[in-house]
Amino acid sequence: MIRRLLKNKKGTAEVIGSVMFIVILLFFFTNVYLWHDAATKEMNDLYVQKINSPITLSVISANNPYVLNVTNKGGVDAKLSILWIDVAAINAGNPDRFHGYFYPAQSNSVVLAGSSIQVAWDGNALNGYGEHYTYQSGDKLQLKMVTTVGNTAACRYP
Amino acid sequence: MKRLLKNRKAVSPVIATVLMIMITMAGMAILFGFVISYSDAYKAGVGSSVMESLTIEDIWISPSSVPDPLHTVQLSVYNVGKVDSTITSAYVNGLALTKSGTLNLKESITIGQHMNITLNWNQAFGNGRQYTFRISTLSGSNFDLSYTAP
Repeated sequence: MIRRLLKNKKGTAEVIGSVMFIVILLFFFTNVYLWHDAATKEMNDLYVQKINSPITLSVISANNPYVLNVTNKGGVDAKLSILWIDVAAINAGNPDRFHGYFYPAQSNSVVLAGSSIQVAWDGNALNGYGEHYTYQSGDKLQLKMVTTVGNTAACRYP
Repeated sequence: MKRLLKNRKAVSPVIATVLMIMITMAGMAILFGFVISYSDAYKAGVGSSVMESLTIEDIWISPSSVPDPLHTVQLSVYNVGKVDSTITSAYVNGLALTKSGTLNLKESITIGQHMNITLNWNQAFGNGRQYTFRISTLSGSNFDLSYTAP
């Protein structure tokens, strides 16, 4: 019975053709799946890095808004990107006077896990409209540091 | 040799086999091209949303003047993802923001770029009220930030 079945070659081409078709399809879709898997893993690494590198920002001296202290509270190194300077309105309840940014010399500096660095700001900032701001005594500031993975930390002065 | 060339027997099966191989190869080439273009389009389109990550790093309500009849807001966005993105729409509490009267923003942002987008709302921002800002990308990702108006 088995010998007869094996000797019968009818339909062999169809079987081989179907198997090859399935193998080729599997090859193509495995390609897409593997790419998706690699992309997801890469982004998971980014999120893990983000979760494990929270920072805090504070002004070193109550009389000097130009020197800031950035502390990395996490277990992964954090890289600094940009410092935002938001200037509140003189009268409370009104929109902020100015929102601008400053690239400190310490941009792209790495704050090692669990350590702190000092970041200097020269009192100037630019905004998206090309306007310029210079700090004047009495201005109410919100300073916000952003890291390259998108973590932010803010402090107010005074 | 001359006898072999004169003998026409089995010419037709040879042609048939050659034709069969050619048709199969053409079919496979078409299928290959389709699948490759499909996977490339997937990776560059919807698939790339996996690698998108945008951060709304700053929000400035009414940056131009006070009072502001256009209810202007400036969103500062930072691309921290692994692919370039295109921001197609922005919302406040689920209501669309517009740019020069249009809903479709088409703002491209490259990897590592900081970008400011100035938008308008059809309502006034209330002092001390909390708003949830959302930006949506061409690939279908959404990124939110809650902000309390000063």
